[in-house]
Amino acid sequence: MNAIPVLAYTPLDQAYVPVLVMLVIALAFGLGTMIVSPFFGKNKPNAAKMEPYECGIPTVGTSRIQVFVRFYLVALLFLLFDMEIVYIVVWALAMTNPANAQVPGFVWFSMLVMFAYTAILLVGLIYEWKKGVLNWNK
Amino acid sequence: MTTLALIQAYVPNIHPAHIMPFLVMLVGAILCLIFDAMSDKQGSRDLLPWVAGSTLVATIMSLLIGFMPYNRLFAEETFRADTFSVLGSITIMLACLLAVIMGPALVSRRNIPSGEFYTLIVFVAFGGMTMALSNELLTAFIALEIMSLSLYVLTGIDRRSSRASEAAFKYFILGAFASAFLVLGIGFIFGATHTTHLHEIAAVLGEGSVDLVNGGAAALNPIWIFVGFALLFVGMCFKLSLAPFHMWAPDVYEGANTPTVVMIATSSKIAAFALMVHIVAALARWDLFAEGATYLVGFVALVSMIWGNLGALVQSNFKRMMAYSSVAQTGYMALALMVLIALPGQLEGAKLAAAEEAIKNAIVLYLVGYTVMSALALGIAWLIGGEGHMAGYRGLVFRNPIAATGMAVAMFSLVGIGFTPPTIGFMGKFYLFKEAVQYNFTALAAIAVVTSVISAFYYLNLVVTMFMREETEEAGVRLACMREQTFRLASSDALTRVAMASCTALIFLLGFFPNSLFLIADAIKEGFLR
Repeated sequence: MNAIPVLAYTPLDQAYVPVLVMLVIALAFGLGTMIVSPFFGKNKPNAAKMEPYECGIPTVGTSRIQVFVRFYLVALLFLLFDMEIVYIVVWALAMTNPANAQVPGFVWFSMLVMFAYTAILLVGLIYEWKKGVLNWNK
Repeated sequence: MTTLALIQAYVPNIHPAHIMPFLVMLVGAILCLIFDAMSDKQGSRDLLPWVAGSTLVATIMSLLIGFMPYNRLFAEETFRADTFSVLGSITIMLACLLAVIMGPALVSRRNIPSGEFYTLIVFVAFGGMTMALSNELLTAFIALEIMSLSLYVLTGIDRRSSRASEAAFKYFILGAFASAFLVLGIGFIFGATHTTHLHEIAAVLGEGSVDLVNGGAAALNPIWIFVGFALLFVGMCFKLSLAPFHMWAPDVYEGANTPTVVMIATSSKIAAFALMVHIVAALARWDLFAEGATYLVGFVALVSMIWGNLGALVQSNFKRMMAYSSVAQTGYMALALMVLIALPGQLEGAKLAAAEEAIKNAIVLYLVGYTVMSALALGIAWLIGGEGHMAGYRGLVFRNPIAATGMAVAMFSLVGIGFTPPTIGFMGKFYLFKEAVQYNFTALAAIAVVTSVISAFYYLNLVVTMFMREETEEAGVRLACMREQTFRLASSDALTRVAMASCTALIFLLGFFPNSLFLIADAIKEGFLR
């Protein structure tokens, strides 16, 4: 079994030195170009130059609009099913692995675990359903 | 193959009976949710507090019966149930039970969604218990988040109150920030020791070197343990409302509804203290740890004692006063935590173990005492509607002598030192300060005593207001109209009154016989079933 290459062999203070170097370089480059460029470039703004060219389109109206609360509820609904997918895909992959299928009782045990898990998620779905989140017209 | 045998074959290190309290709570919380979702009429929703309450009682029973192995690691070495954590868990349950008892009056008075309210209370208890029992830093972090998120929502559950929304927002933003510190600290400790299990961290620190995955070993780098502990401690200081991280406390206490304040003041602090004591006990196995950490924790304890008590002096709102008082009270407990850290430098072997046990017992005694005292104070304020300006308490004894007497008992007990020997507040402080003096922290103990005397001024000021001031027209009107709203809901208030009476009894019982608390611990150790 291979060890984690960096963390296992180097002490912690050395292991993060590359990250520190990267951070310093990134900060130095970003700030440096911002500080240095006004000294070298000519600054003659006009209306056409100040437009958000290739940075999207100019805003129409105010950007501080109110969003229908149901969109947030949809996001919450999504979270529930998202969690379901995240675990079921991994579980299904493990189930179809021939090596695991040889282990006695594996199928039943993993079924048990997944049923327990989906039962808890099902409670969430029932709760959302009964609270009327699925009813868009309410 | 039966189901149990199947589970045993696959997860041999997790016995279903060992995690019974967790299962009971989880099933209870889910039942609350389903019950709320399925009931169409308000009448059936009125049964919800009974579901939540019986869940909490069932968990207390399962803790008392002793499903969990005592002082031994269980469930993949994730949990450990020692005296501190089991007594702490039971106290957390009782505090949450009080919130459930106070609930119906709040729910109907402010028209709060009852299903969410009671379910979240059960989740607070679940998070608190898991945190107090956990032996593994990531489990503790997840438990902390379960508890904190439930508390954020409970703080702002009264959506029509702008103060509650403000309080919830402040609590949430600052709490999320503190959680980030906490998890970064855990990350540093993991980086230095290559494990998140507390007993393995203790072993690594004892050896002074880390076993690597490839079979080699690396020397331990002290800086990262200090950095990790400091960050972790900052995160926990926020949860414990220790100065200088207490800024949220007065606003949250004032804005949140009183049942939630009871839980913020007690449950979250017990859980955080239990975890802190376990972490400190693991890290203190390393002989260099005390040198830095003693100053850090000592500084926080010192600032909390002074700032909390001086801050409370100038408050005119009852709940804000209780917030500053909780800052001061946790400061005293942080003092004992500091002694716990410094101990390995002074003692060795069996003596050290005995001394550590004594300090832990002193902290848990004070935690239980503080829970009872603040539950009594907040509960009576809730019953008489005196959560606002303290002028409302003028001449309370002439209108409601029982409430005034109960509040006076709570206040005398909160003062503790010097005035009121047979109360839990005195006994708790006595043991805390005794430990500090015994291990040569006389200066800090002296400051603790002086600040306790300062605290007498604002606690007893309330007693003077209740007993020796004439009732003015304004104060009477203010209290009377709130009382009318509360007293209409007789059944909930009757139970709350019973709870308040038991709190008063407990203050004196534990004051006269502090050791009776540890009789429970011994009973758990033996186990009713084993």
